[in-house]
Amino acid sequence: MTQQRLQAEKTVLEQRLKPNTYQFVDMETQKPYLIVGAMTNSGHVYTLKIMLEDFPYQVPRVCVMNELRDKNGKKLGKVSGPMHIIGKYEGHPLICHYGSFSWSPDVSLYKVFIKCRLWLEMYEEHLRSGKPIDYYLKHQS
Amino acid sequence: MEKEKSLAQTVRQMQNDQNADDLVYDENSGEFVQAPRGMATEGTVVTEMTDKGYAGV
Repeated sequence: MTQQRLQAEKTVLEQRLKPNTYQFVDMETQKPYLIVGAMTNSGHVYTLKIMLEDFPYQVPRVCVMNELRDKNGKKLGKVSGPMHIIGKYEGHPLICHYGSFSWSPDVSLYKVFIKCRLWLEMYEEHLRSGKPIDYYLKHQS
Repeated sequence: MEKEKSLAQTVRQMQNDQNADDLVYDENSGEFVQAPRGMATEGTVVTEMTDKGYAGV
């Protein structure tokens, strides 16, 4: 990511997120990432790791660093279409947000955050209702 | 509890073109809220992120 793009991303996040809820890490290395704390409407707090190796040219992988379990108590981490999970990273689920077909380098990290924040909201709804996340967030046809 | 159920239902209905509300992310509270379509005065309208399918727009 260029310094110019990084500054633009920081400017957007400064305007929209509370300052102590996110941090850019290892930006001078080959594995830069953004850590964001996300609190759902119900007050639960999750940590999102947004990996920036190829951002903005590729869809950034996003991992929920909490241990997540489904309604039945099974640990989330395997690929699951119904749960919008595309794999795992260090044992934690990588969640679907933008598909590669809908990605553009113009998409901001803030928009990625919003999508992941929505996933978390629907994950909690899954815990309440037992319905898979794609009951609420349909796959793009 | 009721608030979240309502939000989830709204999101689901948006994707079926059955909903007249916008989904709004209120940066002040950090919460998703609903507002009648086109009437939100605060926050960021994010309806477009869901109404054509989640991994879309």
